[in-house]
Amino acid sequence: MIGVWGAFAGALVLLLVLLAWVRAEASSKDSRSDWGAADQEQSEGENVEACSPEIVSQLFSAADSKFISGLESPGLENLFRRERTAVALHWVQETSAFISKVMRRHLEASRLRADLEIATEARIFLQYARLKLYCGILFVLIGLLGPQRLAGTALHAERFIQRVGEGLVEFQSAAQLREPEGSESL
Amino acid sequence: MLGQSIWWGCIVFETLLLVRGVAGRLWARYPIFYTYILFVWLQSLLRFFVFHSRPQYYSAIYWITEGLGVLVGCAVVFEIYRVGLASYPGTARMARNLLGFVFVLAFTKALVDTWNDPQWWLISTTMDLERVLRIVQALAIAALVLLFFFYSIPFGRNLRGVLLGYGLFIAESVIWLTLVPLAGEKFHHFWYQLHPASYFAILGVWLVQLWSYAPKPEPKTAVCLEHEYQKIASVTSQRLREARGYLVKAVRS
Repeated sequence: MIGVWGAFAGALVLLLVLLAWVRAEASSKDSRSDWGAADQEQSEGENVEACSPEIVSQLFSAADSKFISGLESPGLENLFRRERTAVALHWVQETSAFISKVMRRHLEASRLRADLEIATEARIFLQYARLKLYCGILFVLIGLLGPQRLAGTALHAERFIQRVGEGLVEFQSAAQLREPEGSESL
Repeated sequence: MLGQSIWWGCIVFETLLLVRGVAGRLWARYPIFYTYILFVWLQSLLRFFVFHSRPQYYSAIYWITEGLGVLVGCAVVFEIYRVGLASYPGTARMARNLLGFVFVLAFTKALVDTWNDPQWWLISTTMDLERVLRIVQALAIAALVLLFFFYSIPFGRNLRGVLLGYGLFIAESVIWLTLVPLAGEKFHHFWYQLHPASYFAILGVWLVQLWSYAPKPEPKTAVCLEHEYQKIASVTSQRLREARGYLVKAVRS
């Protein structure tokens, strides 16, 4: 039999899930009611792209930092460090938003497909979770250590994000190509 | 006095819900849900009649109707899944697998419990069995809502109301069925007031959300296809007009 705590946990999970769902429904209600806005959002999403590895490499490179240090101006050095950290944090946020947009578009496409494979979906979700975790860790580490010490990690994350992002886009394109066949059931 | 008022209030709300369901033809869209409400309405009247005329049968009638209510409630969960995911075959497939997993998990747990203690089935009260079934329903609803949430399935006002109200009802029932056997005499009185009051509030949610029919948002692709079709049709008719113009010119010359 299910114990008291098990029953309470079940009820609590249901209440929390319902609460989260109602809040999410309420926040997305306006955008859903206007198809134009939704389309605009989608086209905006298509324009967002992750930075190229060269820019990321430059952003996290220690070369600029060494050059500024060579000028022996503490004020300039502080300003440079602050600005570079802000840009690096902005890159992490943009990358995280890009991942979310790609994932959202994948979910919008896959929810209509009849030939959905659970193993593939689970794998994609795990990769998505891993990417978001990478972004979260990078965000904290950049704040703590500064971008210059994280060049290797950032480049690794960037390459991984590019690979998974491209994979998702290709997967989505393939699904859209198959869509006319599946759309007969709609 | 308060208990009687809530009880009568519930019957009035259920009647209103049924009347609005028939008037707005909502019953045709959610037949199982309205069957459930009709069942609860008839159950309330039957219990009231038995309580006043044949009190010795009240306990038996109460638990029989309660058991039947749980079974009809399972069908309501199925209807939420059927209506909510009718236009989303991909998510429907995921939901089938997820619900299958929840039921297999519940069945395995019951089997393991029976294996460990073969007498539990005999000594369990009707309340225990109802609690187990309600917990399974709670997990099934939570799994469904997670899926709706994850795949951003747009909901109409009506279906959202059915799901929200029924989800709250199940969560409250699980808490009630767990606490009542544990609580002392003082709490019994409190819980026996709170349970109908929360059901009354849930009926209020249903009444507001199901007062009139609200169309369910259709998936974007369907709209895109229709839009594309309209565009192609208008371009084709324009080209046909141009071709006809050239043809007329050619014939005249």
